[in-house]
Amino acid sequence: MPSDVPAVADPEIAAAVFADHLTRVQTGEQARSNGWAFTRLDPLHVVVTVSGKRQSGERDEYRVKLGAEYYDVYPPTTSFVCPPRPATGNQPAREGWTEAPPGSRWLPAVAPLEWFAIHPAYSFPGGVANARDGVPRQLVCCSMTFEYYISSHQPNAGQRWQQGRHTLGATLTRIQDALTSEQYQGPAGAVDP
Amino acid sequence: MGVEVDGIEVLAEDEAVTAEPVGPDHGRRRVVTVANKDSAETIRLRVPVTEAIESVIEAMHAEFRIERSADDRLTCRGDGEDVYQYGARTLAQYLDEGHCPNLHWVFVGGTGGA
Repeated sequence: MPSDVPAVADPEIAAAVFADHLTRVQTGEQARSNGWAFTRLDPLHVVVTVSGKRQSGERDEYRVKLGAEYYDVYPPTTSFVCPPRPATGNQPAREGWTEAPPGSRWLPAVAPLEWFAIHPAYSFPGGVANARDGVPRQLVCCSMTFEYYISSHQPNAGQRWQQGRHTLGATLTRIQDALTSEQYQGPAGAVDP
Repeated sequence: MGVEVDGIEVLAEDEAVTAEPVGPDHGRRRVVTVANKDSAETIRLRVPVTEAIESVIEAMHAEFRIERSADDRLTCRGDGEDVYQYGARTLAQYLDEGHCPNLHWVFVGGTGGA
């Protein structure tokens, strides 16, 4: 059966390109002015701390996990994640960086923009890699994320990710713009699993 | 030292800029900063005020190693005004008319979503 799922990138090449782009973004003026903080998990993954600003001026921190599984033929895999934490009185420990569920404090609520939306529980087509078959998962819906290309979207030529032109910086700037737009509403909820 | 192309000099990221006197004639050269949202890189171009905005745009494309696409936008960071429409103006004319006094532009390509 033919698959619409792109082939994964050679991990060594993807890691090298990802590292190069990551260094350029991390040391740039836009990372400084936006206050992005980078936590490298392994050669193919990084978590970036970004902040949203509500119309009231209140700020909220989020963690965005970017992956280079298909990089840079395709944009990075992208999801908002919950940060690890130790166990406390009434909360269990959280190990690793787990995808922020619907209603999570770690998932931003953004009213749909023409160029960006966050779907807390999106039903990806069956058989699509990077999506749990039959189980809705998060979709950061923007042509600068990998998941956009496996979810039946049809960007025009000028909107499509272009290898050599775009870097993971494009993913971060789009997210940052959404989180500082008038459409940003704050965390999706109070769930902190 | 930066790299100079057709009178427009690309400044290195850490290169200090010597302020030139800015009077009614805007000095001889001004620094244009362009933030590229497609790569999250930012460049600075030292531009003679007699250069056309179109030349600055060409230098920007060359530095970012991209070709112009119909969905691209180049705007002033302060007020969001489109820069492309002033391509035929010189930098001095652009400033004389009161556009984008801090010369900080934002470049971004098209984005699909929702």
